[in-house]
Amino acid sequence: MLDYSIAKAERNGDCVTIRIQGHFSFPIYHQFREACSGPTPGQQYVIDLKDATYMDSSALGMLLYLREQAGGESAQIEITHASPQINKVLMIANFNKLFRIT
Amino acid sequence: MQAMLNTALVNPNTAAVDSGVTLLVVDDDEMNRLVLQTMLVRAGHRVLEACNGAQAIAMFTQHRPDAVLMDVMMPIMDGYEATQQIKALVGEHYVPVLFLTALTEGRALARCIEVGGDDFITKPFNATILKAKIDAALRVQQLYNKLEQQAQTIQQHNNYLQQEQEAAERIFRNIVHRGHLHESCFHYRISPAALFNGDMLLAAPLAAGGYRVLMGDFTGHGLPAAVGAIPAAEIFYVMTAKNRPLPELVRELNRKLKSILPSDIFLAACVLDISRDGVDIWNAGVPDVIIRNLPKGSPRYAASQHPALGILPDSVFSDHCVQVALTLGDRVYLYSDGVTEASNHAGEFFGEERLLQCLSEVAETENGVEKIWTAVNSFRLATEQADDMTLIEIIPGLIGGNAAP
Repeated sequence: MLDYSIAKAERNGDCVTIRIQGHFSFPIYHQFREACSGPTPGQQYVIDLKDATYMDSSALGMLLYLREQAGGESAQIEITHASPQINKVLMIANFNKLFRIT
Repeated sequence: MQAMLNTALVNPNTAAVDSGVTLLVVDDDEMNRLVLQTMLVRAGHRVLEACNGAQAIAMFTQHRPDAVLMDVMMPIMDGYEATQQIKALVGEHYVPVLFLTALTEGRALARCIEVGGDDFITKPFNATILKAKIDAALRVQQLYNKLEQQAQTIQQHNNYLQQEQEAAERIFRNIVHRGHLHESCFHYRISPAALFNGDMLLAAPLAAGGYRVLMGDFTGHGLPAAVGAIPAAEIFYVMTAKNRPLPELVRELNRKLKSILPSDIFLAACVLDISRDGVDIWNAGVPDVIIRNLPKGSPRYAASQHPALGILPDSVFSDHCVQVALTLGDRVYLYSDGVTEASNHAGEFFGEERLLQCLSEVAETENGVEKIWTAVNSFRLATEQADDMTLIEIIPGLIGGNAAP
């Protein structure tokens, strides 16, 4: 099956919005890394999952990578518009303790 | 044999730099051969000559030229037959054969290609066009050779990797999949999606009776997951054998994995200490542990309460466990998300509802794992396994081995 999933970044002042489209999983690993490249401490991130249809553990890994790059405990990362199914993945992983999920 | 390497005949003032390319010119007309030879040598090529198809094959076998210029009509053996035999000789290698022919009839020219020829030029030929065609053929050959070399290199690397993986997998199994899973109180299934999968399932006896079980799932597959699994398994077995309490074990696992794993790799895991009358559960990132009572009773759940192992620094890590009392007839199920995420042709997941439905139908004498495994596999039909699937059923009534479930 062809995978058209993508990760795209959009900079708006101090905030970078990364939009995920399709499957948030390993095939977009490099795109995601590029999209969040060069994060500086204090930089804010929004991960918009409005168009994401699926998420697996490698996506959780990517979020943790971003979190570490963006300052670890002090990282400001918000995850928005998760579908109920994706939200369940985030909850099982207890990512609400690591990220702001809105 | 009149054919020979023939660069010496040329006036050194007009000879080009040696191209390193050897061409075989096949023609029964000596004049034609001379014209071609002079032209090719000027272009820097080395030239071999043959005056019929049979001689061409002999020359080809002996000298392995890079390309062949082939006449069609010749005594003893014609160019069609010679080309077929030469192409059979070279097998998968690419040696261009260009026909030079006085024939102009379409059928005769088409036959040049049918027998394996790569191009044809009608006589009398234009030297510039012939040179250009030879250059084009040699360029294709270079590309082909390069591809062939690359394919060989990849194949060698692949074989090497395959051997290494197989050896590593044996080591990995000895470390990660030993333990006490063969006891009668356990039913389980692990299916590797890759040669190495990220799934772990460990069991070891507790000094006070009962067992400690760990079911885990590393982010990603392959080598990184396997590498992390090795220290995790060692810590599990050593600390359990030393009778260290569960909170201490999970804290140590977290500390170790946090220090060795990159930030995007972690171990979602559930660790539990189970005896006949109770279970302590520490669940970090795996689906709800399900406790079902047979034959009746609604299921109880122990949801994930912590981020997975290898994420949090020790200072904010929580080793808090939940305790659940067990009674006769209870069965405890742990499963990886690969079970509920098994998908059918329509891309639909097996899901929790089907899993729970399946569990509610497990009879007292039945092996629940086999029932679920069969259900998932028939749901999934022929679609490829997308994730690792691990599933375990623990029957506390069988712990100690002297009581009925």
